[in-house]
Formats: sequence, C-alpha cells, structure tokens
Amino acid sequence: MYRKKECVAMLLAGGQGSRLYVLTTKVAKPAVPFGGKYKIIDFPLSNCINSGIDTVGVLTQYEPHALNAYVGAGQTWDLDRLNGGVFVLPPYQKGGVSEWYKGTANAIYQNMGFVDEYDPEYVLILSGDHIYKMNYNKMLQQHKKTGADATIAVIDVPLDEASRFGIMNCNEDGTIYEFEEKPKQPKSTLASMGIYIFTWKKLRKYLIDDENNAASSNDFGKDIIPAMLNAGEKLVSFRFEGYWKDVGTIESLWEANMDLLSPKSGLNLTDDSWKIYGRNNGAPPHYTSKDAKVTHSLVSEGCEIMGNVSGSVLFSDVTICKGATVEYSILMPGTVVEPGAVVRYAIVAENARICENAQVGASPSDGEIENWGVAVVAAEVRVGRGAKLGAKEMAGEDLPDMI
Amino acid sequence: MNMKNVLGIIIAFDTDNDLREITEHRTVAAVPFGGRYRIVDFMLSNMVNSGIYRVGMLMKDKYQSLIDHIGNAKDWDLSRKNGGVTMLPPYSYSKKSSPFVIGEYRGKIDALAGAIDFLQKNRADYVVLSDGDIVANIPIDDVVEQHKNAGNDITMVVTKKSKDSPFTTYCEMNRRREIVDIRVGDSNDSRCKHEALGIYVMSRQYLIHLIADCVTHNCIHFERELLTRALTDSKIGGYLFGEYAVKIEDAKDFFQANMDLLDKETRGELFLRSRPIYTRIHDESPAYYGDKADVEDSLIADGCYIEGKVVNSVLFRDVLVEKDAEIRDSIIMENGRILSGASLAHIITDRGVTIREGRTMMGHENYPVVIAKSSVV
Repeated sequence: MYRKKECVAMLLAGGQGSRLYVLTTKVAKPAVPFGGKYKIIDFPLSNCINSGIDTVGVLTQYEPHALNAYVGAGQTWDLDRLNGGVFVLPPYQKGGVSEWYKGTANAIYQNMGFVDEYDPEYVLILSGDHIYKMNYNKMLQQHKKTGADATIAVIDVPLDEASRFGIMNCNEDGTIYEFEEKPKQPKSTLASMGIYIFTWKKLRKYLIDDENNAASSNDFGKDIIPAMLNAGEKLVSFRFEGYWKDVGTIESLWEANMDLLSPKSGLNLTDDSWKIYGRNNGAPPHYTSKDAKVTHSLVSEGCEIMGNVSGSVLFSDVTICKGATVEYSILMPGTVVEPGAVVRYAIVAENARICENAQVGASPSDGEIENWGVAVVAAEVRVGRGAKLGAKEMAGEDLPDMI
Repeated sequence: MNMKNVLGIIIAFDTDNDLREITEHRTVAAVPFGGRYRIVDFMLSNMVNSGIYRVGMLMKDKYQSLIDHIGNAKDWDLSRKNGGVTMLPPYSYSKKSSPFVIGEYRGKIDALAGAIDFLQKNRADYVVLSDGDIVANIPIDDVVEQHKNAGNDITMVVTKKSKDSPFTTYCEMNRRREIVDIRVGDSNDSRCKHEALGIYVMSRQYLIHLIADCVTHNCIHFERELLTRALTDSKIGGYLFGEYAVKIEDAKDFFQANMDLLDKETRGELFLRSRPIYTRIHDESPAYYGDKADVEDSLIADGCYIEGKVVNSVLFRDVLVEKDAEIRDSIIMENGRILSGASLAHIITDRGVTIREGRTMMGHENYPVVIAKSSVV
C-alpha cells in the first residue's frame, strides 16, 4: 500500500531523565506529569497534531509501560488515524543485530524501515523533555524554502546560561557554520532546542555512515550534526520565540509548573487555537469547601480541598484536608495531605500521602540559601505522622511516624 | 456477569419534563449538569460501566444539542465496531415497514413502536429501557442479574418515595420484591411506599409483545397503560436502589440536584472511582484561582478563571468570575462571564451568559431565576 506522507515525526522518548531522580524511578521522563493535567509528552504530541503532522513514531526504551499505556491508540491527540497516526517504537529483535537503542541517532537508524513505509520527504526529530508550544509547520516551510539539508530550531538564551546548551554559531542568513556542545566561552547565544527537520534521503545516508563508524556515540548532537557540518551540508537555524523550557531537573520542572501561575511567563494553556491535549480520567469537577482558602493556584478535576492552598498546582484527585497547608508546591494525581501537614516548595508525586502534622519542604527564606532546593516525595510514598522532610531532600521510600 | 446480550435504550426526549428556558432548545437528556456533564451522561455511563455496549437513543424533537454532545460516542467508549450508540430520531422508518410505525410520537410507546425495526433486528436477549432524565450511579448489571434470578417478566428500579408530584409513578411492593400496584400521580394514601425511577429490564421479545399489544389497543402511556396492563398477567419485580437518585422534571429539581453535589456523601454516591461518569472531553486547562479568589463550598470545573467570590455554587467549564464579582447559591453553565462587581444569588445562567459590570440578579430558593442561553445582562 502506498501511503506517502510529506513529513513524519520521530519523538525520542526513551531517556530515563536521571536528573529527575525519584520522579523517574518507575516512569520515563516524557511520562512525568506536568501542569495540573498533562504529561510532558502531551506537549510535542499536541504540537504535532496542531501543526498538521499526523504520523508520529514514539521511540521508547526506559520503563516504557506507563508511556505505552498512555499513548494508546493516540485518540487523546486525535492521532488515531487510518493512514498514519501514533506508533510506539521500542527496540526489537531483528534478523541482523538485535540491540538496545545506543543513542538518539541509533534509535532512528533502527527504525528506518518504519520511516520508509511512509516514504516521506522530511523527518522531524523531537525530544520528549521540553515544555513549549511550537508550530512545526512554519519550520518545515522554512526548511523547504531555504532548501536546507537540515533545519535546527534555536532559541536565544541569556549569555550566562549559554554554556549549558548546545550552541549554534550562525551566519547572518541563518546558516549554521559551527556547532559547539556546552562551550565554556560561547560565541553565540543561540541554543539548539533539540528539534530538527532533515531531508530524509540525506539523513538516511548519514545514519548509515554513522552506524558504520565504530567510534561514534550515535547521537544527533555529538555525531550527526558535526558530520553534516564537516561535509559541507546546508544546515540552517530556525529562530523560535516564545516559551521553551527543558524540564530535565527537579528545579526546572518546579519552575515550569510555577510559570503556569504567572501570566508574564509566556506559557499559556488556555489558548483555544493551540490546545494541549491530555488524557482525561473522568473525575468530577473539584470541590472547595467552606474551610478552604485557595489563591493563586491551578486546581484540576476530582480534587477535594478543605485546607489552605496558595501558589500551587494541584493535579486531579488531590485531597487537602482541613487544617493542612500547601504553598508553592506541585501535587500530582491522587496525593493526600492530612490535617496539620505543611507542604512548601515541594513536588509530591502520584498517590503519595503526607500524614498528619508532617512537614515537607521549606521556604528559601527559612535557612541558608545555598542549601535550599525543592523537596521531592516519590510516588506512592507515605510521609509519616509528624515526619519532617527538609528543603532539597527527597523521600524515595516511606518515612516513619514520628508521633 | 456477561452483559453482551443486553441492549440499552434511552428515552432521550422530554415526557413530563419542563425546565423552562433550559429545555427550550434542548431535551432534558442534553441539559448541562453538575459542572461538566449532561444529564444523559449518567445513564449512558451506567450502561457502559455495566458492560452494555449497544445503546439506542430515542429522540423526538430539539435533539441537535444531544447529537452534538454524543458525537461519535468515543468519550463513553461507545464507538464500537459491533454496537455502540444508535441514534433513533422520529420518522426513522417508513410506515410501510411495520403497522406499528406512527408519525408524531405521543409518548414512549409510540417512540418504541417507531423503532420496532431496530428492536426486531437486534439479537440481544434483554433490553434495559431507561428514561433520560435520571441522575444516579446505578449498577445495571445487578438489576439484570436480579431480573434473571427472580424469574421476572419485568424488573423496574424503584426508590423510596420522596416527593409528591403529578408525574411520579408510585409503586406498592411486597416483601418478595414483587410489584403489586402501580399508580401515576397518586400514592394511594401513601400505601405505595416506592416510586419508579424509569428503568425497566425485560426480555426483548416481551417488550416487542407489549408494544404490539399497546399499539393495537391504542394505549399511549407507558407507565399508566403498558405497565398496568402487564401487571394483570405478568410478574413485575422491583429492584430497590438506596443510593442517591433523582429524576430531573422541572427547574427546581434541576437546581436542587446541582446543589446536592455540594454534599460530600452525594458526590461519593454519584462519582465512584470504579464506575466513573463519562462525558464529552473539552481539553481545558485546570481551573485558575487568582490572588483575591474567595471560593467556599462550591464545585468548580476545569477551565474556570476565578478572581472574585463564589459561595455555595456550581461553576461549569470555562467560567470567568472577575474581581469583586459575587456568586451565591447559583449555577453558572459553560462559558459564563460574571464581570467585575456583578452579584448573583439563586440564579441559573445557561451557557454563554454574560453578566455585565455591577449588575445584581436575585432569585429565590423556591424559584431560581433562569437566564437564557447567550444572554447579556
């Protein structure tokens, strides 16, 4: 069957996200909840469908079950299609060499057959660890117009942060002449967003060459892009302006959630013309009791709030008991905060329970600022009665009752 | 229990229901309820949660709103290769197709007779026939099981008698859970201690038989005529349902049932984790509370943006409450915009209503004022 697509998206969702520590012990980073009712992967998938790209391969490897179940047949994003749609692509056994995905480029290499089925002109490579809203079609149009072999989305970052990113040094016309991974002395502030459009025929060749190079780490940033630059291929930058955040660390995940509460951040999920879709769990509207005080917060369906909540993001089915206090925190689905418990500057993962009079997290003004950080409670963990989890501490397993 | 051989039929048109402005353009089944639902979601979800995946919806008039809501029925998991939802509008079948087919429906019997072809062609053994105005979370599979075990001809779901209404079907039930008397609008000096909720289980063949019997004898009222005729020669059992259940017949019922949701126990009986109520998904972001938000004892749906005061109320999806606005004892349906300084008490605003700056509107507990769809006050 001839099922040609102009552009196929490949979403790299196999990473563990080890810098999210206890939040990713049981799920891959793209499956981490975000923003009250989403998961990180909802952002690239919603961007795809909103950009008119209806064929997406999701490459999974680390803890794939939650992700597979979540993606399902793709109906959440209107990606259940007769021709195309969303496909979960784990590593598989094959006639020749069977192995895990060795790197981002190798993951695509192993799935060249999948891409070839759609005979696309272009391939869009995405990663599953950023929060942003972007029209990939604009990028594709530029790619076609410039006749580039590869187009790389870039964003202007502050100079003092530039050394944390892969920096693209560009000519005035936007063509890239040099790529530097985490340079100590950055020459430019244009950071790669990890979003690439390749002309498929070209990429195919480079993937095969890269696979034959035993010294290669099979990574897009480290190997494919430098190889293409060295060979004199035309690489063009695509300037993105708008909200974009890597949520690969506890702090950045917390910050990005907090950005939802400030209109100035540029992250707006209420825009009907560019909706972010997420799977709905069918909970009723949330209930706020007369004992509750809720300000400057996002609250999802199914919550029951009897306590005090401010500056926080509450996912679905969270219970805040009478006399409990939650400030500047992110409470993932199903968490319970019992009477007298205080949760401040913390991320509490799914179905965790903060028992009576327990304390989780602390304000930056409470102690020395150098030692401050967001406290984290892992999924299903019980923080015992009167137990205390300080700033920057993580509870990966139950904390015993102290009273 | 395997419910594969059970067909669900929902009466999705108004029989004795009148919700004033709220049902002017839609049928009671399509009336928004409880912050994010339509009333029909309850019975549709009850059927799906019981394993019924074939549902026919009998419609009569003002059904566009219902059709828009149901769509392809995916959100109820009823987009099926075999079965799913079958929409049955009036004049679906030609009068030539069956002597039972009548033009304009006078009631449920005419509607069922009009869709006799659908009933005859279906291969299900049992039919669960339900009104579309019920708000309850009922395990239909339990009702069907009791029906089979008791060897009934008909099993009807009943609740304890609650109110006196001219439209209520009262029943007298003996200790063996057999119905011995059925009366519409009169409880026989409270000898009838139960009332019918409007859910009936019977075999498909028996339903076809009863319809044929009624149509040929020109009987039009389901409870008054079909059931009482059946009572003389068949065994009608009652399934007593003790959890929260109401029929929405007028604006006051509607207002009260919404307010009932502010009670934790009622929510616990309606919204079970194991038997969720499904509805059409709109993909809004979570509700936002501003710095000055002051919300007490209220049910708030996703997509709301609250800067003002909300007390003892139900807010549907995408409602805006500006600073210094105050909403008390009210129901604000989807896309309502309550602007700065406005004040509402005992008001039901239909979808897309705007209350402009500084306006004050008041109804009374016994007579909630309804503001029609898309009005600007």
